Amino acid sequence: MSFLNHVRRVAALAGAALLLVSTQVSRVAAFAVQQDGFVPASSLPQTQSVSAPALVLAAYGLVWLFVVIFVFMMWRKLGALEKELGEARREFSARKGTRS
Amino acid sequence: MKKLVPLALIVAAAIYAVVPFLINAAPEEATMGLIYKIIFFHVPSAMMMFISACVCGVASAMVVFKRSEQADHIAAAAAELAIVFGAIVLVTGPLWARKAWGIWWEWDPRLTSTLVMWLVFCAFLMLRKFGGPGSESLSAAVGLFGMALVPFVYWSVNVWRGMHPRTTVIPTLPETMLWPFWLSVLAFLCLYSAILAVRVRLEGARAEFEHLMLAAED
Repeated sequence: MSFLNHVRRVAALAGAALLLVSTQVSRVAAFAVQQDGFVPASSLPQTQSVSAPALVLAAYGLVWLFVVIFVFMMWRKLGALEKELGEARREFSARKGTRS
Repeated sequence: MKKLVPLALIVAAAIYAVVPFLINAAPEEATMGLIYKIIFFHVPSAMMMFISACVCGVASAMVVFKRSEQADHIAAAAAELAIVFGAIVLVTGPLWARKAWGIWWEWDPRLTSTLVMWLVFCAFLMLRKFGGPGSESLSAAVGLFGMALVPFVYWSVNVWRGMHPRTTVIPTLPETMLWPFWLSVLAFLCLYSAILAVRVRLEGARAEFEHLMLAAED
């Protein structure tokens, strides 16, 4: 009795697995057939659709990122120039001191 | 000139504060939907890249033919800005293309020529930085070539038909799309002018400092 139950359980599981695999295979096959021609956008897998608001926001954000990076680089160059200028001033005043 | 920089920045800031609301209120395009709204900063950035390339080219011509030092500073500053705005164009374009065409990049005449032009200005700056003594004249020649590319890039969409929309698109925009577009162009122009003026002044100060150091050493 227990052996028969075991066989039934295994058969039921195998049947369910077979059904699941066959439905997935037929789905993939149907999509592959559709790929040969035009594919309606509604039947595309969810992963293939890109969110337009996200792209627009990304583009807008990147514009500002580039501008901010450039202004930051300019500010750093200005800082470096001011530093060099300070060093030159100190050097000149030291030279004046030694001459006098 | 000194008073014009803050004025340009104030005007740019005022327009940038208003333009996002106008862009948001603009209707969606029939075939592309919302994604077309990248036009409001993609095209103005491309315009600034063209303007910058022309400024760099004219200044480079003055460096080559008149040996003008001030023109050299303007050329260097304009080349840097051509790279910045070119980078914006080359990054925002693929984001638009991904939704509109289904691909990030296509070796379309407009896209390829824009990339080549951007690389020419990268070469300009690299030549100035690593070219050693006398590299100003060489980089100025490269700047002239950069400016010569502008008409090719601009008309590439009309001459060699690719996937990129033609130059005739902008005049056909309805008023609800045209107003935010031209305001955005004005904002970019003000921002560009202010940054260019500051960058030229910085380049001038650096050159003056180098001259003073050389004079002190002598």
